[in-house]
Amino acid sequence: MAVQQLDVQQVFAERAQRRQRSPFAEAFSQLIRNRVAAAAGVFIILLIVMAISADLIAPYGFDETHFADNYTLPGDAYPLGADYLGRDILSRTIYGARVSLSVAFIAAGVSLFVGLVYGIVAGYAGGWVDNIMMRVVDFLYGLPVLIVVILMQVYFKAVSRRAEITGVLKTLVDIDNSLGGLFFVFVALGLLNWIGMARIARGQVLSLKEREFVEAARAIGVTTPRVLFRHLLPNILGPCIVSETLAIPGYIMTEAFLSYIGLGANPPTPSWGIMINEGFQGIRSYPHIILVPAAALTLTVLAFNFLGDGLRDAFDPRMRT
Amino acid sequence: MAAYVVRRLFWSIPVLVALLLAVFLLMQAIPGGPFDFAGERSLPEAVIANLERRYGLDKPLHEQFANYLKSIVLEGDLGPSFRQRNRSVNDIIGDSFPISAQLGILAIGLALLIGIPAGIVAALNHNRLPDYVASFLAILGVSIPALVLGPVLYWLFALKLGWLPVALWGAEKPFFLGFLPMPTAKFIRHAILPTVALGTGMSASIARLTRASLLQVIREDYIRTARAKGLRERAVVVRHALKNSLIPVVTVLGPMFAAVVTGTIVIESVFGIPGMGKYFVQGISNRDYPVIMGVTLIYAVILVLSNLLVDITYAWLDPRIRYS
Repeated sequence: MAVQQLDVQQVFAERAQRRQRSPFAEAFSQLIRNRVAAAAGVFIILLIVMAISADLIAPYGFDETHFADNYTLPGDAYPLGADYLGRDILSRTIYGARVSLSVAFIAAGVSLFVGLVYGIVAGYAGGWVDNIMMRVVDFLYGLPVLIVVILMQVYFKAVSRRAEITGVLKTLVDIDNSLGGLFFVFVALGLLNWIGMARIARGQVLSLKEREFVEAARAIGVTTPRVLFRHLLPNILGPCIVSETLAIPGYIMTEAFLSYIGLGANPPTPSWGIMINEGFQGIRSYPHIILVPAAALTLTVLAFNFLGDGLRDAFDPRMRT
Repeated sequence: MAAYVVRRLFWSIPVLVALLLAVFLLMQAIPGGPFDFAGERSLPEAVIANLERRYGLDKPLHEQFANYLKSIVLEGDLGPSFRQRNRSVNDIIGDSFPISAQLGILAIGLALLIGIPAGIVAALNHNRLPDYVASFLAILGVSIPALVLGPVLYWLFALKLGWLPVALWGAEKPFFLGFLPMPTAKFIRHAILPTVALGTGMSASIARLTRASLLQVIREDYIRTARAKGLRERAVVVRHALKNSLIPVVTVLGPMFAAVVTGTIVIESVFGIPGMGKYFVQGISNRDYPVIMGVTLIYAVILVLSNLLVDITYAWLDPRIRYS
């Protein structure tokens, strides 16, 4: 009898211990075991630190021009050379990390937040609410995101060149100018990219909402918002974060692309896309100018791709290879 | 199936009209009319009024939009260019679209040609050296943006080594069927660098997808059945696994068209190819709004239709998928 009781206690203790390892803890330990993904994570953390402390690290300001030193080759005064206005390329690349990272995290944050709320509400409500909400998503899904982003940027750029605008538009343009032309990039990227997330979140909620733990929560009188965000949300967050991480390289490349063709950040904002464009203008005689921002952009995208792959493997054991 | 196609076609109509409306409203909302020339080239007011009447710009907005829709749908007329005053947007697109189409098709062809075999090799050698090499190259490939790879190839092979031409496109009108060029040596020499610059990223993403999909299919029960009944490994892979694993690959063809669009914009301006992308970038820096809008519209139509085509192909490839 006593032995049996001991066994039961042990089983419960083991079970309690196992419960402590949440899916996130499990995923995190998997991620650490994946060395490449962990290295990519460390690289991104270093990049974030570099971007935040750019004022301390960068030898020059990002818009500090030294016309006498234009096109200087890498050397003592300019570790990685100077561009066509005599601006230090290293400093501009360091400040450029701010642009790419803020685009990455803001676009991902907006997409994750809007998509999750929309998808959870639609999936949980069901019926005609779900139907209408999903028809809206279907329509938006048919829109080519890139084209809409380009159209919006063409419009915003045209408007912000005019002096006589007033009201809300004026406020928005002022915000945009103070952010070096990036505000409208955030808006354009955030506006449509939540759609995929909404679909994923809705699908997850649909498969979970009939499960016992949700029923149990409802049975003891938990309010609907609490069921949604306290009981359902933690269970669907994993796959959503994974798919959002996998989307980040796309945001970074879109910003660089827009800035490259003149629809993104405004000069002298040190976007890597703008720097690549400026470097390409002088590539015949001074190929070193394009090299650094191009390498920075590629490495950053590469790191997010490795991290996203690692997260996916960690959260989804079926994909583990 | 037929009902599904009809329904999808029907659903793409509001999307296209919404895009047209957006393009039209933006054209209206962007300050400055087509005949506001600054400085000494500015026109007398009476002339502007006459020109506006000539192009129907004095009519109310809804009437203008109706006319705009009508002229696009019935006559395919996208209006005059602001800056290249002797050419209409139609002239520009008519000259440049076939070139962009040639570049895009070559790049997609290269992507399929490299991506699918690489994905198969990686999956069949799962967790062995060829898999690691292919997977690493693939993740590298998807991480190099066209606006990095283009200038790098341009600098190395055109400027430094001088093996290939630095600019322009090697095909001239007339094209077969409106877009197929003569495969002359000149055409090939001009096409190599832009095609590689554009196709590398796509072939990498196709390789990743083929690998993942084949790995999943190969664990299915019907593959075990095929092996159990004694089929040769080759037959199992080619006839049973590969066919099914290519279905997800088809679905990325939709997003891939979007990648081709951004890619051609960058690659054409890097390599000085007179395609739509180059005129698009030029239009942005010249603020030639009708050109921007016209080209955007063409891109949008291509993207919407290619997504539709992909969904239909998807249903056709996998008999289990039934759209209702």
